[in-house]
Amino acid sequence: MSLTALLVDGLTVRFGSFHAIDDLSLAIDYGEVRAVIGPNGAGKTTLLDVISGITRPKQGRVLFDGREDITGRSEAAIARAGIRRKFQKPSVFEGLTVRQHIAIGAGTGFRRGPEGPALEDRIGEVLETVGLADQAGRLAGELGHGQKQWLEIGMVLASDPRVLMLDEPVAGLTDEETARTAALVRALNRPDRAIVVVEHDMDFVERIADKVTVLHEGRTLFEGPMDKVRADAGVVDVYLGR
Amino acid sequence: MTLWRLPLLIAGLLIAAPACAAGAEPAARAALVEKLCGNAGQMGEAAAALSTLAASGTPEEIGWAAPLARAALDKTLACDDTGAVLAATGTDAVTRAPRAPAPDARTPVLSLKNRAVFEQADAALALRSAADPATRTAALATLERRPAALPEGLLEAAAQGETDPGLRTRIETLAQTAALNAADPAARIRAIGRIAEHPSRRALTQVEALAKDPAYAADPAFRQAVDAGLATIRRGIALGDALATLYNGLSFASILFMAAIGLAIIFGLMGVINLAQGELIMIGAYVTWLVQQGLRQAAPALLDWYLVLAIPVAFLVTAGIGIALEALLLRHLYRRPLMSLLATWAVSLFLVNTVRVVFGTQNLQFETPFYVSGGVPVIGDFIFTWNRMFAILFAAVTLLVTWATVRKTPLGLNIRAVTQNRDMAACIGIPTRRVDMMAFGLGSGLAGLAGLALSPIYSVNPQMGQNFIIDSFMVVVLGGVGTIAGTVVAALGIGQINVLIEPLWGAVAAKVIVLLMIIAFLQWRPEGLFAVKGRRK
Ligand SMILES: Nc1ncnc2c1ncn2[C@@H]1O[C@H](COP(=O)(O)OP(=O)(O)OP(=O)(O)O)[C@@H](O)[C@H]1O
Ligand SMILES: [Mg+2]
Repeated sequence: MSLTALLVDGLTVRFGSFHAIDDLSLAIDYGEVRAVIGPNGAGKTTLLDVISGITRPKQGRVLFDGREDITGRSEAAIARAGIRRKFQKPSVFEGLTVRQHIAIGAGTGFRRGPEGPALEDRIGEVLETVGLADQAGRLAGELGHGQKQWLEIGMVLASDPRVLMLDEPVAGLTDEETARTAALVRALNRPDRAIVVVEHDMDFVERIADKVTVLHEGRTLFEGPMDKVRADAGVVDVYLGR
Repeated sequence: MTLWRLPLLIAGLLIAAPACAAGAEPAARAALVEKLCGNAGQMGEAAAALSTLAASGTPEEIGWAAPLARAALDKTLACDDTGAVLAATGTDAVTRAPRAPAPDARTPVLSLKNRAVFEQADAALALRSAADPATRTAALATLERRPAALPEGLLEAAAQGETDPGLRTRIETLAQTAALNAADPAARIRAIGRIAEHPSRRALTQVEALAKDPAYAADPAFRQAVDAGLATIRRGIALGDALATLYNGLSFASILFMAAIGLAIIFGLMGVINLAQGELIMIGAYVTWLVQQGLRQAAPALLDWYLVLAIPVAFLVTAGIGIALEALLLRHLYRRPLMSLLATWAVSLFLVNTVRVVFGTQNLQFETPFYVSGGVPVIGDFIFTWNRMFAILFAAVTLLVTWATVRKTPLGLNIRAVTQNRDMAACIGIPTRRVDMMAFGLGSGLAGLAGLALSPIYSVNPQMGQNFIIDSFMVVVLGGVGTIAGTVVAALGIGQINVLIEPLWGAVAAKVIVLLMIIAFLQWRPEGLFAVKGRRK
């Protein structure tokens, strides 16, 4: 196992003539919680889209685990390699129960995921972790907004991924829910796992992130710990100062 | 036929034995033969006696009397001083012992009037004694000419002994007609009551004819009975017609459901309307036919079971075609719905024409296995037919299996996940393309099963798919994309409305009206009856 979980190398994504990501490079290590922040339209979601295989980059590549080139692979293949991602927009399957979410997240069906008692154990464990153990039988559509966010985290967590990417996990949550989510994210941090969190909420970012990458117009504006970010003049200028 | 008659005959002989022993019977028989050889008046009496025997005689007596009537008609009765001889068999008319007629024997000649009564007597005897159903049918036809003159109890007895169900029904009908025209007014009123118990259009015609009867004007009791009978029959017919329409609608809805559920799954999952779905139905029916032909060659004993044996074959063949269609064509048109639509249309034309070239355009001939033939008459002209029941049950089982597949299996879970949120599903590792392929196979296989289920009801030819695709598509739109419950309700609704409107204004008007109703409905609920919970991209 290399130390670098994800290596983004010279990435460029264009929508027509618009550069959503412009020659971006960054490395995320195992054991790290990385926050990616930046103003609206900075390209944060697009970055996650490229890593998870939804969007094809114009140039550059993404290496997983330091050597495995995953650029251009299908979403499902990338997911099976161990990279899971929560979407920015709410993305629960409203017609499925909480338990079923975790089950498909854990990989029942086509893949050699856990089955029988092992699957049940895994589901129980994940539901416990995200605090939805008492909601297992409910339909996702009936859950509160915060619970949906946690369910999505549980769903991407179920397969025990090596890289976990969360796009705005606390958008629209109350302060208390945000605090719980922060604790959850910290609890998910492990030496053999990299966590990428895209977020606008600076206090939340400060609580969870080991390191922060600030994107601006598809490029890295700054990279470093949160207190340095707050102090950086360039960042204040484009983002915090607004 | 002969086998069941044998014990009856023995029983008849046993019953007849004491009579013979008493010696009364030979005398009666001799008297009858004597009348046969008598003048026109006596011959008429003899014919009446023969008719009475046919109605109330033992099988042995009937067996004895039958050749006499025949011989009188055929002019093969040779009368002499000691009685008569049946020339056809060379036996004595009374004892049936072989003997030759005396040289001066003469053959009695039937008057025009007597000819008719002898014909009736002969037919009555033949109806009760002939072993061959064709002979009995011919005899019944003769009796039907003059129902009023039939001896009492003849038809009831004949109906009871009849083994051929079709013939029995005819006998019973004739019995009713005879009773309606009986001389005794009380018997007629009773007959009206009995007929009204089983309302049908035929009963209606029978009773309506009585309104023109002189007794209708003359006898208030009779008139009241006729009016009451007519009212009961009309009510029964109306009820029967309503039930028949519902039943036909239900069976049509069953086929629609099977066609539409596949369409709905595919549309929900991929946003592709598979215009070849109708042709997959057609292929399913053709595969069923091929299985039938194969069985005819390989295992004729199993021929009756071809509908059952064809189930896996029809499913697998159409599912295979669906999977090929998805993998070779639609996969490359991913997220281009219009192109996909056109591609499936092209495939539908290709399939229609291939089948047309290979099999020709004529309707296929299907065997009717015993489990889908006939039916149970319920009320009025409504018959609970087994072929429609087969389609309905088949659809119910399909519904159950589909529901279980979608709700209870990992494939179903994956299908639902991809339907609701394709990106999310992909990003948690569900191989969406494979789910697409398998769902397409499932949907196409269900269409094939629809083809199988409709083969006992509708005509099967290369163009048949077009009758179903529009309606199935409307079911999908009305039901709401990708919901089983919605598909069921919409199929029931559209099936019933179609069947209700068709007899009133014709098939085309039915389609147009249904379409207008759906458009109006979608103005009010654009997402269909049952909105799928989820979002599509
Ligand atoms: N499929 C697309 N086609 C065209 N433009 C796109 C597409 N996806 C994203 N963009 C554009 O790329 C830019 C970056 O979008 P992205 O979603 O990555 O921003 P973001 O940093 O996640 O913003 P936010 O904080 O609002 O989520 C935006 O200007 C967006 O309009
Ligand atoms: Mg975003």
